[in-house]
Amino acid sequence: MSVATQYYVITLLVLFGVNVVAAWSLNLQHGVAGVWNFGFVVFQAIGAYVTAALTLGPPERLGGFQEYVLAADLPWPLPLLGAALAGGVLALLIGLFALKPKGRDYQALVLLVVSAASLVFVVSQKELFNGSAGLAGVPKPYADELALDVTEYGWFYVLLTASVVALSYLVIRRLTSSPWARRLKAQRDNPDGAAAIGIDVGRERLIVFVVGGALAAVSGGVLVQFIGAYSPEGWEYSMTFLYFTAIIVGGLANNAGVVVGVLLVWTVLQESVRYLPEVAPPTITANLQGIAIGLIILGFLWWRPQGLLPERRVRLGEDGARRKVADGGRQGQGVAHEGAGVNAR
Amino acid sequence: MRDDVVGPIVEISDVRCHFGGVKAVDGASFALQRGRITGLIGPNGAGKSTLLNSVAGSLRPTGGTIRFEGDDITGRPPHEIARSGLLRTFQRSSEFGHLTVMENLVAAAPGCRGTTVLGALRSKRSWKTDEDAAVVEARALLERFDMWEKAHDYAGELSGGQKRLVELMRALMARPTVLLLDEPFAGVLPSLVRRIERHLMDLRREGLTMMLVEHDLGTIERLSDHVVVMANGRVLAEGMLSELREHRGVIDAYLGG
Repeated sequence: MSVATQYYVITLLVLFGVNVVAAWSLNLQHGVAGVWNFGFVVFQAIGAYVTAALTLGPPERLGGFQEYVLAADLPWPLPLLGAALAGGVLALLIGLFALKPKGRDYQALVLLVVSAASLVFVVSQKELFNGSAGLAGVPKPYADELALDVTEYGWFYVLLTASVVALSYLVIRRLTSSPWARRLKAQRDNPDGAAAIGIDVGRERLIVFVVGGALAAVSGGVLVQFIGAYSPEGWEYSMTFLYFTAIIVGGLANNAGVVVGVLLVWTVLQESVRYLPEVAPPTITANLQGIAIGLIILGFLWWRPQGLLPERRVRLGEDGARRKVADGGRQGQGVAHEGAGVNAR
Repeated sequence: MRDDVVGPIVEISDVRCHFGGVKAVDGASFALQRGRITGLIGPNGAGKSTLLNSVAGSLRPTGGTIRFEGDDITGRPPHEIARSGLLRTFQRSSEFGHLTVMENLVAAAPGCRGTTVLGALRSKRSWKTDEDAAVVEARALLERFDMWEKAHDYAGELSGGQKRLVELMRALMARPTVLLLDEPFAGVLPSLVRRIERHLMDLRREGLTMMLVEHDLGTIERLSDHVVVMANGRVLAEGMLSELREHRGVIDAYLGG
């Protein structure tokens, strides 16, 4: 493979990893818990900014051409942990008021406004993360120590990304296959019914918002350490809808489906545009891509709302529990049934 | 105070639910007796469902107090009231449509490990025993209510009556001491109505206290030990249904609308 081809493949792989982690976290929030997080990209952004700040060191190091808070020079993976913390805290602060309205459509709207407003805020507060110019010159982890050439380092970064994806998967798999996820789905399907069996709906939604915010921030951190720069253009609210498209196409509440969705929407669709003949000026091509994504989301919502890989049916009690029921049955059919569930005092 | 086996378990005193100028419930007082089925009847708009909602915490009353086992629970959020053992079902079924019937039940089992985010992050071994126990309990309920063959169907795909059963079983999984039933027979086939009635009678025999909001007087007569009649947000009369049939005000309220 030529250097250019190798680097293209490396870029595709790293971005794929970043987007899979991001989409898993949105899927936890939306697919599993029913939170319409229309401000999703904000949490990826804060992860990217915080990771950049935590690795850039003092601004003077690069000649002081950009300003930012939280300047530090931490070794990988500490900046990612810092990003996760920042994403979680931000999600807590935003969630405390954005998830307050009872209607979920209102929550979505508030989050969309938050997304647009935070962009304006970051642009106007230059001392925060260097305003509209954004942060550049973000160092790559262990690049100096390893002293590899560009493609070799690229493959090393693919490994780093893969390790983050693997770890995220372990966390996401545990969370989504747990009894907690069942209760999240319960309140997703019917919040009043969930409250009526003792689920604190508001609290659980806030928790899943924080967990998802932390993981989204990690995806932003992995992204910024690869591309080396990050600016407000990277987190316009339309990005959120690309992630929504990916999880809807792939299959809500299905971790494997989400991977397929990211592959189709982020990789295949985005990249295929590059190979189209240039029949029109580039700006029109970009707009056509936006239209295509809109049509895809509509098409799936109309004809296949469950996505390519639908949510899996969980058949509880088909393993250990069945055996125990059989044992109980031998002792006397009626005993297990009588008064089941009733806690008469 | 709690060791008496008879007497009221839920006391509703002078409860008011006003929405602006509309007085949906306007000073209602009555009690649910331990181990009995109390029927709550009245014409449309009498305030029965509003009252049930305020007892269950879905609605904060604008005045009055509600006591459960002697504790003042007025205005507490619904999940806290449910956890304390006061469960309810809904007029419009509230099943978790994209979960199986079995999962609907298991989701309601109280005190299982793994139902918090920190518990979920731990290994499956740490919560599997609790989940298995809940599955066994759910299976017993499903067999008792003749729903075992539907265990792995999505709750959203069931018939109206079956959804009612799921809701009832789900409430039972949460270990109720009191169960508030909001028109549990609405939209249910007559054959299934009789089945649900029999289940409710069985539950009463096992000591469960229930409040039943219902329109059908036949059902009320078959099930209720005690009947409370509401009209215009107030309690009009209470007693045995046979006595109430003679009550002038009750007749007027029903016939006069």
